[in-house]
Amino acid sequence: MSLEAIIVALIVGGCVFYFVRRLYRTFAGKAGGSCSCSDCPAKSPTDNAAQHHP
Amino acid sequence: MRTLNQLKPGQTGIVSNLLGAGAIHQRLQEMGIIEGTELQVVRLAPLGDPMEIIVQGYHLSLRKSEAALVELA
Amino acid sequence: MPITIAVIGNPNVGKTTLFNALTGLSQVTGNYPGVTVERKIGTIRLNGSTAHLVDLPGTYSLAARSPDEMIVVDVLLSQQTGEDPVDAVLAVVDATNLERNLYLVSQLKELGKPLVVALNMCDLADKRNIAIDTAVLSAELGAPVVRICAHKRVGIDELKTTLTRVIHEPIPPASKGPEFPGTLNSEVDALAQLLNDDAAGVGRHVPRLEVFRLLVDRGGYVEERITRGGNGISHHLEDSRQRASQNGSLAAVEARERYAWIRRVVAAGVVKPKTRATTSSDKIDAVLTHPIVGTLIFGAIMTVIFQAIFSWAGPLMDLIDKTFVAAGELAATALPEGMLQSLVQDGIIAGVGNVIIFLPQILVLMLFIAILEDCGYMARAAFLMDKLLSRCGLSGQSFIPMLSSFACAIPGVMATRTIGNRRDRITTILVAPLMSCSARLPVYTLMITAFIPETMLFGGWLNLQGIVLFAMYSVGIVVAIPVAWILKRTLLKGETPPFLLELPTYKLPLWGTIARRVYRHGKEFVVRAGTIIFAVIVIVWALAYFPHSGAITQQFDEERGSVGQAAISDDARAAALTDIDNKESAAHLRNSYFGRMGLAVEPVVRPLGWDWRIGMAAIASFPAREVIIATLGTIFALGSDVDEESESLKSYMQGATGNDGTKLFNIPVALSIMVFFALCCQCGATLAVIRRETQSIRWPVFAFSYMTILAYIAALLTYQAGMWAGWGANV
Repeated sequence: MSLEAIIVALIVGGCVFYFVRRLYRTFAGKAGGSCSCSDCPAKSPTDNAAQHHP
Repeated sequence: MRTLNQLKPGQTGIVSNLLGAGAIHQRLQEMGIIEGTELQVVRLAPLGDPMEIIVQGYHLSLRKSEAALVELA
Repeated sequence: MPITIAVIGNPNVGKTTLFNALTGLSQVTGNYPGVTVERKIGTIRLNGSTAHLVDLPGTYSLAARSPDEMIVVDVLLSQQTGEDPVDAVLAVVDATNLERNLYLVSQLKELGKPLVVALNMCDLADKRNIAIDTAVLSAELGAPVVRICAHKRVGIDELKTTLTRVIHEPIPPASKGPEFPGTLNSEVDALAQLLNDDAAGVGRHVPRLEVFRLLVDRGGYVEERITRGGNGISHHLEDSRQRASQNGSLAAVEARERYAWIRRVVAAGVVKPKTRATTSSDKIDAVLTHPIVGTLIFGAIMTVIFQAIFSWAGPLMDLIDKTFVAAGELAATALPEGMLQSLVQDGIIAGVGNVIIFLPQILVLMLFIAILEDCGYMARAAFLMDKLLSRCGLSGQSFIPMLSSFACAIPGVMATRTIGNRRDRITTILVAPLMSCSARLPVYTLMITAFIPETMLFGGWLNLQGIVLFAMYSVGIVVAIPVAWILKRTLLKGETPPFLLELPTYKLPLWGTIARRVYRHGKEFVVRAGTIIFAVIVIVWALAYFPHSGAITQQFDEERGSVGQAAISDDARAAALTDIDNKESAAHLRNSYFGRMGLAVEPVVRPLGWDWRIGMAAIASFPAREVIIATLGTIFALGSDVDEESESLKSYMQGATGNDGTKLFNIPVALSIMVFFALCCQCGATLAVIRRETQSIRWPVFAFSYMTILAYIAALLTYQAGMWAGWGANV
């Protein structure tokens, strides 16, 4: 196997691993899964939510 | 008995009693709609409902069906 | 152990602004265990020692009716597992609206913990001639009162000093709070004894304040939690309530006593004008909520937003585009021809690069959403729209989560925590992902700029592209209404929920807050492109590149050889060779794993006007919808000659031909792709959040299924109607 093939295999393999792991963590509800944004982009969700509510 | 939902924009009234029970009954009072409080209707939403009132010096929006629970003196 | 201080206040009092002013950037956000209520903790230095500041969700009262209100009570009473006990409470109140704000303060007094009251918006109170004597107010409240102005950072140091003082030398509360009838108090004591002494209790110490809430809040969260499991408490509870509520309902008794106390406090410490002057906020409202003018302004704001997305973001997008084209050329020269070069150039650069291009548009959209939310307009929008929502069984309460979903469905779904009723909450959760989130924007604009002509309508006032974009955003709303209507009449039957909404005073947006939000959203987009989208696109590339059969290469090498020997002009030879290269790329793609899967997919997507490439790109986009752009970028880069003059994805798509040699894309195809993406739930993270929020696998499965079916049908109708109308001809 050439060096090129090994590099490509490593990158693709790494991406498959990352993708599967992330999918698993997302649906298992683990931290770092889901949308990965504990500090969510849309302001603080609490604030967004509670903003105008009795 | 006159209730809040019958008021027109610009009119005022004094709360005499609050009907109903449960969550909405409690929330209305927590928000300051209690016996003896003066209310003023500011406007209705373009589609006629909900209404906007001034109570305890701030603006609150509520539906006419909820305003019907507020009896006025 | 560091001191823990809880920060609490009504919504719209500037609590978050104060929290940011106190803690700066030292904030950690997360969730409370088991529930998705955001937990934000910051650190401050108080007289040399460290203290933790816990930002609690905004609430009007401790009578919990929703999950996030329950969290407030639990944290304050140290009943929340995994949380440090609260040592002191910082209550933020709005100086222009003391009466209602002091309601919560009167409840906080009963915690028996050191309490500091931060009087925010003092500048506005001064402007309205509301004179507050803080010394008198402190004495009446039995807690130090500090005048602050959070957005101008006035009074922050004094607030810190005061916090340090109350923690180190707690002052015994001098003044009395509201007094409740003896019968109510004795019933609370009796019930507390029953819950805490009896073996049939709830297995933990129940604080008196929680017992008070249990008794008073009929059907509230505390009652539900304590009587769960049928431990015989509910029987005693009913008896207690009956005995205690001889002077009207307990809720009425509580509110009456608290407001009576508030009136005494305010009468002593506050002087304000007899008549309420018309404020500038009132004047703005008279215009913005006017039936005709208000609607026109609403329409104008929307038009400006959609036009700006195209015109403002354009130059920056071109710049990013050029950068990636240059990077692609660099990769082509730096790397030897082969699979690694293809991975970098066709996979990563053509894939991820094409997604990043849309960053400026996302920033423009977020800028507008942030401004509208920060200035208080969203509450007015809910006020205007409530009637429509109530017809389909929802309330203005559902409107705010739905508006949030235009940025991203995840905070939108999480925002439904403020909805007390479970069925209303689930209905809102199920329709929120139909709102066009910012990740759909790139899909829309790619299709629109490539295939919708830039015709100016109405005498040059409106751009057809802007109108189509507006239409795409409307699709989600228009579909959400009947979906909610049907859900509320079938699976999630129930009464139309009440609608009580404060219309806060308009304020100028805080540019710092807005900049922070736009930055965070932009960062999130880039991070997504660099992680999940990167991973998916590399996988897609691998599927579309391999097996890269030697037989195909050999076959085209032979053809190349014969062209090389043919007696034709150099120009003709070059053209013939390019043609062969293109055919070779197409043959490799068709023969790849991706292409073979495409064969199976093609019959399903054919009625939508798509070919296998679009179909596969749409399928690859189920983890995250932006992937479609990356996938199209990769497919078209792989499927054509890479040495050719670098072209943009847009021109590849405009030039692409289908199996029969005709143009692959036309207006109906572009529209059907957009409609499909508008309605389909292509977002793994949203489904995961739905699962977490509903605590069930059923609802995410349901959301996914109904949205996918809906998207397919709508895309089918769009394409067929478009073809029937004859829009397919002229591209």
